[in-house]
Amino acid sequence: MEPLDRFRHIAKDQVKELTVSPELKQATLRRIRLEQQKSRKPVRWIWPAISSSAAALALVLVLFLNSGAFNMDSGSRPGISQGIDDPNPPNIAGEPPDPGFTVMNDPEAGLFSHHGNEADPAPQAYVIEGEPVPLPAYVPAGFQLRNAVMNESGRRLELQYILLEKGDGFSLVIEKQDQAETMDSPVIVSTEPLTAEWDYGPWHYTLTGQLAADEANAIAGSVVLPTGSETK
Amino acid sequence: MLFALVPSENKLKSSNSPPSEELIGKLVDQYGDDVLRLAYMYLRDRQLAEDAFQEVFIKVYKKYHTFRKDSGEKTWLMRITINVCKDMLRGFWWKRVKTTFLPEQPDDQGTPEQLVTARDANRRLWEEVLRLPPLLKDAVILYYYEEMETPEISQVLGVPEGTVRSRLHRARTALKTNWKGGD
Repeated sequence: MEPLDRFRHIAKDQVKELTVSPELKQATLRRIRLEQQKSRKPVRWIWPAISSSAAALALVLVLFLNSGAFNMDSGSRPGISQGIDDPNPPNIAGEPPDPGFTVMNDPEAGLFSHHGNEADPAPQAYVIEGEPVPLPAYVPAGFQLRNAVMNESGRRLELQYILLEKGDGFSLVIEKQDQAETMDSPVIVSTEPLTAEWDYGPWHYTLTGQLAADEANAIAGSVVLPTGSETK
Repeated sequence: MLFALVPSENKLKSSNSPPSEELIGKLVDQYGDDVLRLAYMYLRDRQLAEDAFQEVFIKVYKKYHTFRKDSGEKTWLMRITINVCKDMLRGFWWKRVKTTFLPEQPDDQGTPEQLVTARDANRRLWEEVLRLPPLLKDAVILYYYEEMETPEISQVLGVPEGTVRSRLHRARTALKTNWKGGD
């Protein structure tokens, strides 16, 4: 038995006697009642303050909108969240669309989906939450990027690579994390199909597909920030 | 992306009004044991776990209006519990909390020597797991003790599923290295 499978039994055994006593429940509910009493007190005087603040805010908003200062032109904002209704949105780095890509709006695939043509250019710069996504500089010979899909949250990018002659392929999922992890070396988490994971600063990479482990290592080792960017 | 405030299965009157004492009582009845036990896994002391328990439900009372129904109530409670425990542990860094390994039920199988050996091995494994780095321990407790799947753990911890899987993998590797208890 794996140690952690045994841990499951040990842990359950350790805590099975631990239950919420009636005294603990009552003590908790007493504290909730105190919080309720605290939150009720300011009601009488707060409503006039809220309503006058709301009226002042509404007036400011009306004046601001009428002044024409607020420009709704979404084309000036680069970013992944725009373009879902635009049949030819700019790419997410804010530059004009590359004529080598056919941009498709596929709601099931995500906010945008790029399907490459036969002769794919090198992957474009991708941006997540304003930060350029570090991409592998090395891809095994013969493989080409065929598809790039961003999910709805805008924090998960999936790149799909294909080997044209054989139809083999692999996917590379890149996710933005809230804190940097320390798994610098790729870890092979399964072999059928090959799945390798590693971190690069706040970015987590998951590679899955028909590749050898040394190729996965080479891809992981080649991850770099796009030219001109700095790592946070 | 907008998150709609959706009333939970406990039927709030309005999404912005605080929950009633009755609702909190129902949550205590339904999830209280889970909260208390999870707090104990982190704090390793019953009294501290009970303090954390109260803090959790105070937070639940104050923050219920922010609860989004894209995760279950238990998932949300687990997240609050972990955060409360970590806050408490940060404050208690100067205090060495001795792990109390509770006496196990007597087992009729095996000689006294075998029972003692098994008990020692279990205690050492328990301590090794609770000594894992915090990020790995979170994933281990939620996966092996709470028996959550990785998507749910991802929601509790606020990290991608890939990160959860890699932390579990690292925890298994670390335990294989550090714990050489008999199997």
